[in-house]
Amino acid sequence: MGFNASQPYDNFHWIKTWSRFFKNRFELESNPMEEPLKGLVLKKYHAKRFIVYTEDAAVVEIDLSSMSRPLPAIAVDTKAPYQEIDLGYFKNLHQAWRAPYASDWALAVGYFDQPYPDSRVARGLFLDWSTHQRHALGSDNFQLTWSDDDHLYGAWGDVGGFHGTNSKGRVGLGFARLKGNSDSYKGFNIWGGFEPENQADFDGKSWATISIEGELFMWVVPDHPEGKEYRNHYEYVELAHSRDKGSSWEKAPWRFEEAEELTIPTFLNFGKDNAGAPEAFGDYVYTYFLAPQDPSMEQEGPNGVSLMVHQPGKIFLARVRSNQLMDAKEGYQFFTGRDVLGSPKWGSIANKQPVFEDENGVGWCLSASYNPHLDRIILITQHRQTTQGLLGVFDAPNPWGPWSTIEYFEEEVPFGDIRPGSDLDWANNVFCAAFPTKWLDGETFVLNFTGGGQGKDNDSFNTVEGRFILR
Amino acid sequence: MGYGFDLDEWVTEEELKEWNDYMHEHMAWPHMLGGRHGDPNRGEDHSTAVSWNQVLDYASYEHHQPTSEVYTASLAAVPGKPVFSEDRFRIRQSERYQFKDYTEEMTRRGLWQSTMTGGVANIWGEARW
Repeated sequence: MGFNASQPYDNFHWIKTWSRFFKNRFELESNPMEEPLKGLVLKKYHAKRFIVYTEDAAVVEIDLSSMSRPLPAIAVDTKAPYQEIDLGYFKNLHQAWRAPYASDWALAVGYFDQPYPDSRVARGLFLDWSTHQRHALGSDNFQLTWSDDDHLYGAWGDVGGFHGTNSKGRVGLGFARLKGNSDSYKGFNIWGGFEPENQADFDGKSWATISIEGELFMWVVPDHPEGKEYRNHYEYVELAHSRDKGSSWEKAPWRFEEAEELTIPTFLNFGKDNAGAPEAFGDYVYTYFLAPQDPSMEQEGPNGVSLMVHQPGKIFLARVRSNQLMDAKEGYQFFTGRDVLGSPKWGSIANKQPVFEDENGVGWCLSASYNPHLDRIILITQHRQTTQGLLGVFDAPNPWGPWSTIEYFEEEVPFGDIRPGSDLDWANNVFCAAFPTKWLDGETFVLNFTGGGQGKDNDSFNTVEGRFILR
Repeated sequence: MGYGFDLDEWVTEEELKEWNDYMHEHMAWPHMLGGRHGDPNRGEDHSTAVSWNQVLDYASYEHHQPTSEVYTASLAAVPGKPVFSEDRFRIRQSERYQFKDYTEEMTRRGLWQSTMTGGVANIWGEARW
């Protein structure tokens, strides 16, 4: 017999069309529908994504009557060089698409463009909405760190913090302590807010607090940058340090600037007092910075763009020795890519490379924590549009990746859209969520989140218990 | 990695399992191991190769011009295991093998059908010469 090697295909573009169509569309847990109307249908149940393939067809049928909203759709002629025909939005009905001519057609219906493949460790989050708690109405943000006294600490933005209102204790930036377990915690205003233990002495916002050797550090962005009468959280980032558990703060004399393509950061939080990091990560504190869509963009003012999701989305990673956080800006090393063995390379701000990218956008805030049970870094940020509940939850074995996707909430079912067991006021406006590492226990967690309710509903400190749905 | 083809003609299931276990014990990296059974050629009944494939990491069959129904049946035969249809689907003009040879159009449709039924691996080839 002998071996007969394959020769080139005449219509090699057929294979390329097949390959390009399924890039990011053939997913774990996509299953054929048992009774398709005609042809073959793959359906990703949880995410509500469909692929339909029919042969010798001029009409393609699809039943979306079980969907609650229209879904975007594209068609591809599998016999032609790859070209997507934009079909707009398919209504949530049983419907038929009339093709321009008979062929072997493939349709992709739904959202397929999550930036990273499905997670190998968890296929989603189960949230027990009967545990939903809400406090500090009107105050938002609250990324929390777990300190050596077993309490959680974190900053809020605007209004009076715990037990405060817009007229009772309003501050631009406040700092709180949470004492107790996830089902019975109480919040206390340490610095600013209603009846605080200490008066706040600067404004700003923060989505980044960490505890190192019992001392607290907080990345702060300004409300009104120096010399400006309008808000611009984007303009620079300062590091504040507290030796007395948030009662007083001292800022480092240096800043990271938006002009350096760095804005609104978060710390990667490990366990109590930041203990429990795997040895391979070294004795470093890690910070994720958002890249502004435009390094001169402003939040308000004559050319203000408000707080928005930056598109395309890029996140940079910096590390610094844990005993050198406040020392000098130059002590921060930035991720600059990987070497031939896949190990991270570190260098200057000028040479930094994104550690995470999403064409659909990231920010304007994010959170990052380490889950020891999963042995994964978990990163949460928004995509597409802000304050719509469009959160992405990603995991990676290292702070520098490689990333995969646990959840990627879309307009069809944004975060919290279905909440059996919770009757608290709601709007789909969540923009920020985080896993306080104190409240991680095996595969279970408490997620805290906040939204843009303008003093109502999710514009508050919210917690909900849940678990990772493991593979 | 496949042990070979039509193994059921000269290897027992016990020997196959022994090979599988030995390889996993000694290989320096994770690797999926299979060994192609000679069935079913045609039709949707994969039952003769079920216990055979249960001792391996992926299920492997000899199919001739499988339809989407055959692909679906192969995935259902050993639930939870990846499936590899391990007879090369050649584009060839051969009287002797016309019962299993492909055209380029059959290749295109086979790619789509094997993907759309849930993902079955195949061996493709253009062998007109």
